[in-house]
Formats: sequence, C-alpha cells, structure tokens
Amino acid sequence: MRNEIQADIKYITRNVSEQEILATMPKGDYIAVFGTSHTYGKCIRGDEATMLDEDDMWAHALGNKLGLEVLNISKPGNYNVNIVRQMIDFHELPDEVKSRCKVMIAEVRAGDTAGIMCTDLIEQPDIPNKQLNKTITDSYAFLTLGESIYNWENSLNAQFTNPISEGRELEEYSRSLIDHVGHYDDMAVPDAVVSNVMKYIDNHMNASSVSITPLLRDYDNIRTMKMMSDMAKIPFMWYCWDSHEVLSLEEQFFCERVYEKTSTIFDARIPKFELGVTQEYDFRFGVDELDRQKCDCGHYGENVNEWVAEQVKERIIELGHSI
Amino acid sequence: MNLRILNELDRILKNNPTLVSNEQSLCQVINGVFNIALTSVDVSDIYTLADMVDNEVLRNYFSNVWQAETKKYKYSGLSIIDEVNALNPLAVVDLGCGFNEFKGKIDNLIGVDPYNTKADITSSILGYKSSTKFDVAICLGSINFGSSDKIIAEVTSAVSLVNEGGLLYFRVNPGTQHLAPESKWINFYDWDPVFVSNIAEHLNCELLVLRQDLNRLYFVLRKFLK
Repeated sequence: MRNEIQADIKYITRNVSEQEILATMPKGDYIAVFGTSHTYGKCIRGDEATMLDEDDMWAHALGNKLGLEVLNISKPGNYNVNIVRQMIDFHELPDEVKSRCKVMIAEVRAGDTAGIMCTDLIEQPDIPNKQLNKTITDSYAFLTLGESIYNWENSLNAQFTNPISEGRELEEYSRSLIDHVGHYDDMAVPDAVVSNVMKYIDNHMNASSVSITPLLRDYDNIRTMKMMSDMAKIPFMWYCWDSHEVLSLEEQFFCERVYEKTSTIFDARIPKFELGVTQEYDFRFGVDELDRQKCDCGHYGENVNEWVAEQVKERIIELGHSI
Repeated sequence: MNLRILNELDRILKNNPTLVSNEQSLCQVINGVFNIALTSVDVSDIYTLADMVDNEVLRNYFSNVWQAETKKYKYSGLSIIDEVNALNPLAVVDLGCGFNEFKGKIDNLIGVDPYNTKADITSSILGYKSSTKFDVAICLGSINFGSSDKIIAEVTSAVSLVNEGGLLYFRVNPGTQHLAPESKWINFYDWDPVFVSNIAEHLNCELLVLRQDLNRLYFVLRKFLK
C-alpha cells in the first residue's frame, strides 16, 4: 500500500518535514502521476472493497512496463485547481529528486460533471476552518478550501457552480458544506438555510452543466500544468477519464478549436483518450465489458487500468521521451 | 477599477440622489464612509469618482499604516538581493518599492512608488515612463489592487520596462484581505496560478519559477527575445 504522505506531497500544508517527504520519494528514475480517484485506485467513499491492488492501477502498471518507479500524487476527489497546486508543491522538491522524474502525467478533469469534488470537505479535517480569518496559521491552508478560505463566499460559489453533489445526497452535502465553512460553528444548521443552499446548488448545477465554461476553465488549468512541467523541463502528458457528459461532441470540439488558437495543450494530450477513457474503452470493447469493469461508485477495474497503461506507454514511446 | 468602492458609491448615490448636486456634502460623505480626506470630488461620472476614492484609500493605507514584511518571505524576501545581484544587472527597477528596502543592497536600483516618500521616483506603475530599459524589474506585492484590466495593464507596463531576456520578480496576493481597518476598501486582486500562466503567455514571457511563498505566490518571468 502506498504511503499516504507520498500520495499528497503537501508538506507545507501538513507540517510534514522535508526529511519525511524525501524518505517517501522514489530512489531511482520515476514517473510522476497526478490525478483523481481513478489514479489513486480507490473510490471517494474510501470503500476498501473497491480498492485496486497497487500493481493493477494504471500508473503502477505503467511504471512496471517502463521499469520505472512511480510517484503517485493523486487524490480521491481531486480537481484541476488542486493538481496545479500539487505541481507547485512538486517544484519544492530538491533538484536531485526532480531531475530523476522522466515524465509527468496528469489524469485531469475535462468538463466532467464531477467538477470540484470537494476534496477539502473530505480530506482536510486538519484545517482550522471554523475561524475563517487570521487564526489560520497554516501558510498553505487558505488555498486548500475550494478556492480560498478567506474568501469563503467565492469558495462556496466555486463549489456550487460545479455539480459536485451528484451521486450524493444533496441535503447531506449542503449540511456538511455549511458546517464546514463554520458559518454556524457550534449550532445546528437551520433547515431553512439548508433548503436555500440546496436550491442555490440546484440552480447552479442546472446552469453550469449546460455551459462550456467549466470545460474552458479545465483547459486553462491544464495549460498551467503544462507550463509548470515546462518550467521543470520534464515532459508532460495528460488525459481525462470521463468526458463531459452534458456537452455534445460538437460543442466539445468547438471549445477545443477555440482553445487551440492560443495554446498547445492538445499536443500533450494522449490522443487515444481524446473522448475520455471510458468512452474509448466503450467504443473498443463494448458497453457490457465496460460495465463488468465498473464498481458501484463508478471506478474501473484492472482490465481498464491495464489498457490505459498500455496506451500511455505507447504514446511515451511514440513521442520518443528518453525513459 | 475598485469594484468594491464603485458599488458602495453607487449605493450612496442611490440612497442620496441630492448629493450629486452638492459636491461639498458628497465629499464629506465619501470621506466619512471611506475614512479618507479628500478636499474635493469629481462628480462628472461615478467611475472617475471611484478611481479618485480608490487612489486616496490606497494612499492613506500605504503611506500611513502599512509596514513592510519583506523578511518573512522565503523566496520573495531578502533572498532576492543576492539572486538579482548575481545577474550583474546594469539597471534594476523596484516597482511599488514601499520603503525602498533594496536600495543600496541591489546594484543600480531605482525605487518607484506612488505613496512612499522613501522612493527615488514618486509615480504609479502605469504613470512611470523611462527612456532606459532595465535588466530586472521587481514587483513585490505592488501589482495587486483593482480589477483584471488594471492588473493586466500594470504587468504589461512592467514587462515593457524590461530588456528582452530580462527578468521580472513578482510576489502576489491571492486575494487575502489585510487586517488593518484602513485596508477595508482596498480591492485585493485574487491572483492564482492559472492567471499567472495566462498573463505570462499573453505577454510572451517564459515562466521560470512559480512557488507558494507563505500566503503569497512568488513567480519569475523572463521576457522572451523577439
């Protein structure tokens, strides 16, 4: 099983010493993978029954194929803004460690309706978020709650405008969200407030799910990721697992054509996953096989992961990266 | 444009339309609300008025209240001195230099600030023009006030002051409000990594460094050769 510290190298946030972090780093050449629960190998509910064995996860299967170690910096519920921040943290690593990274691969979100999955709600219990002000001493914490813990209204808006609560109970989510930002500190959240928040979320979900804005925002973040990898002079590749479930293909391609005029991010995309892993897998092997591989909470088994690893490996070889 | 001030002015005028024709009373109200000391106001349009109030709010805060905290930053603090000097620059400009802390420590440095008397040149970033180009520009916390149009204009201006191949050092605030009451009406721009990379690409600059520096972002740009 992977080391939890390694899975999230935010040692600035977690007050983990650099020595502790370095002890978890690969000792030889490695690939660095960033991503969501699909890369982490477990579902957002943390159900051990749906965890993949490490060797069955695409990133580690890829590492085995290439004969390289794997630095897996994925998180369940991760989202692009956070991946950018993890890349900023990655740059904090000593040059000696960074120089052994042969390729950075990001399994990103590209318009998928999971959007911001509220990693902060699930995985940041240590943030003293009940006081949204100067009592926060953690230098990084203010960046980890949604968009900005100081600007909590915007943070809420940023989360509301993404249909994050899909697949979860809206009321439960609304209560935890309100409670999380500490607006009602030690009091029970009044039902009327929950009701209003639910309506608000619902409206924004309806509005954003038919908009191209989330997709363009994702492309913006991917561009930043690419620039970060350029900065480290490490080759960068990206792909998404799920495609946008609401936009039509024409709309998606329209966004890409618009974006192509100002960016080269699509050169770094793994072409075989142009429509997302699940779509491509469905095309090639059929929906029945796809469903057989799918767990209760929408993650995929070892066959899909092995197939992904093979496609990524082929692309690495095709591009001639020196591995 | 400080949208926070603009909205408040709009609310004031909505509640008190007679103030439009009574410049003296409007001036008193504005001074009271924003805790400033204007002697006259331009009521020709609300945008001009908002800019005037914004400038005075910034002046009041940065000339009377704000204190430098340069030492506490790991990357964008005093370590910049050695980093810049190692480049052997012929000319360096510190835009928004505050107390001009790098004067005498960084070679060939000119400090520019609109509000601080320690500056070599008193000027806003947009107002500063120079016939010579600089090898390095330092902008530590100074391009952070107002809306995107102003921020883009100021970064553009900073890049224009630098030689091709020259470096620009930035420390930026991701929108965190300062604690002093005098900063209440300041519109801190919420910088984020995506905007950093977007503006770098827009201005044909290479992003050399992007780091978290305490509760700020620190980044370095290199102006591409044409």
